[in-house]
Amino acid sequence: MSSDPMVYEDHNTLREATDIEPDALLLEEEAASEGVPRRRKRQILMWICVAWIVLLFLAALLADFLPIPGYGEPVGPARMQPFQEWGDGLALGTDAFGRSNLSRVIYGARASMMIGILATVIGLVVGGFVGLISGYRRGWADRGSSFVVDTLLAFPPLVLLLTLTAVLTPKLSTLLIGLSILVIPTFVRLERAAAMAWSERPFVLAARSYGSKDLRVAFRHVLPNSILTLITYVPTVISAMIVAEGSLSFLGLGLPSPTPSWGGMIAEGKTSLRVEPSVVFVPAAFVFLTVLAFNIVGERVRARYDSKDG
Amino acid sequence: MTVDTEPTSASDSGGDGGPTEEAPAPSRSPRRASGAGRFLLFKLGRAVLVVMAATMLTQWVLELAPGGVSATILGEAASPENVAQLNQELGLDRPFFARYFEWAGNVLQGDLGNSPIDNRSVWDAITKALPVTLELVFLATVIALTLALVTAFVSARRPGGWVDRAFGGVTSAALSIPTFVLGPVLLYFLAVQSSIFPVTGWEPLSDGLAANLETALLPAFCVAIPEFAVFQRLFRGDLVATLDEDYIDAARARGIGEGRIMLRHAFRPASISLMTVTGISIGRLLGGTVIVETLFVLPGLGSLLQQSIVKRDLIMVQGIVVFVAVAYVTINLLVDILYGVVDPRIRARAER
Repeated sequence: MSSDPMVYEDHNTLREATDIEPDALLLEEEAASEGVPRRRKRQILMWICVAWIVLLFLAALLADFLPIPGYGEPVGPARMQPFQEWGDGLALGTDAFGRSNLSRVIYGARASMMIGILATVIGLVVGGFVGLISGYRRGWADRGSSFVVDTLLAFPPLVLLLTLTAVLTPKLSTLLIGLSILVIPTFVRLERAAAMAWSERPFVLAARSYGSKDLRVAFRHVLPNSILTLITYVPTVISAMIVAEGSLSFLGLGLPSPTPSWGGMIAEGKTSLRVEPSVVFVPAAFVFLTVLAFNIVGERVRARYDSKDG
Repeated sequence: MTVDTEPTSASDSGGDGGPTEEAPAPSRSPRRASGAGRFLLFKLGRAVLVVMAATMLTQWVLELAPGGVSATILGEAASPENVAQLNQELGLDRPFFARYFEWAGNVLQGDLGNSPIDNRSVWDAITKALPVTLELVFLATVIALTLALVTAFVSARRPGGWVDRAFGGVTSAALSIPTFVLGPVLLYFLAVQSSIFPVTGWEPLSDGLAANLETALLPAFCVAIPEFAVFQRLFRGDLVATLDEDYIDAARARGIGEGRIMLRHAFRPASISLMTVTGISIGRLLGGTVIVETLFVLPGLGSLLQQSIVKRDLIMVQGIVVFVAVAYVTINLLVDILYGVVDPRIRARAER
């Protein structure tokens, strides 16, 4: 190809523009200096976290078929302590209306986890696509999308989310839109950097000089390699989304009232904090354990596959 | 020591950057200044553009609200004709950009409009709420930094030792406790159970420092915990990396004590990312204390925003959001500039 020298020059400037080393993205077993026993211990911790996530996910998904009472109906005296009785969904006590904390927490997991996971997936797809185009094509598409990303990042995250909820009436679809807008900039930036790093690899250049169309090169060669970096961030982003959804419901701006959500349960339980703190502590423990589990899995996955992040 | 070639001299020679670049440069400083000046101008220009786009976006998004400003003023029973008439009176039927630039002109004169619900001046409401939030953010940052510095120094003494791993576990947990979980739990243990702190409410600083701190400390602590975890991890990592450098070995070989090495030799180079992140987190917290303020019923910017959203007072929401966004962008810009001033290595890279 006659334009080869130019292409090379272009790629050299690319190399300077990005600070991700392509090799850093490779699947390398790193942190080899660590002793075997500790490594195994960490593996066990990670699998406990994965088990917790899977268990909660299944419970949330199959909540209708589990032997628990409905989340809206009173099943016992108001504000019962947890671990007093084990049957009838009373294991985790009851809230101010005598509703079962256990079933509310499980149905609440539905809101929190589903919204968290779905918003992350939407953000991953949209952000990944925009990032891929701007990282691979550069030029005006890159400048345009970077400017939009910068604009979105001009708002502190919670303020952006609150502004969006001020406009959208809180329901599942609008919450999903709001939360995905929150994470799209992150995914755009990650994918853009990764796509830029992979675009300068010789095999991409080879594919281009064979005459493959730009879109084909981007999707067949750059995307499959660069997407790995993005995916390592998914657990951490899900945990951030669960926190964001919880914050909104806590402020009374999440899913409307009869549908239970963890944040909403904490907000409701806050009023009976003096009488029976377990109404707050039960959902609080679920939020903490779930967010912690996602964070630990995220940290391990990143340490393993993306050595740039410790 | 690095403050001699900073923005003041940079902005002077920023305009004639071209010729100085060509000159053989008898001393290095004019050349360096021109690069820094251009860097500064570029950053500033971009920040202005971003603020413009962000305010436009805010206005556009808030106008999408079901039943815009006029419908909110007139209430539920308003007929479409009445709404249209009020729209015309308020000038809401004019093109978007005309309204945007009128609004922007007013904002530049310090007029953010009046709330259509209780007719308060938005600017007055913000300046009344701001001190509460500022104090909260200040206290939280001081608490977080103090805890983070002390524990990071201890951790970095023996990386991988049991103290280090214990603090690692603590920060890991702290990062996984959202404020809406931490707040009620701390409230229960420290205010309801042991009544060390009052449950809710706010005493302004004018009522005396002790009374003020009594109401401010627990909320500040809630805000501080996640920040502490971020600061601690960052600073510990940088400190460990710095202590690995050859010049630290050299200092040790000269017989300088461990404490002096930490404070005199390792602290400054290791603290640069911490400074950046502290700056960014202060900016983020200005709008991010909503939950704590709502929980503890503090009359700050966050609870003002939350109440305005619940009341659908969109003019107030717009004012607060724009205020916070501008503050956030400005702080990030300052951090960017200071970063270059404090760390000569970054300034050198930016000039190349």
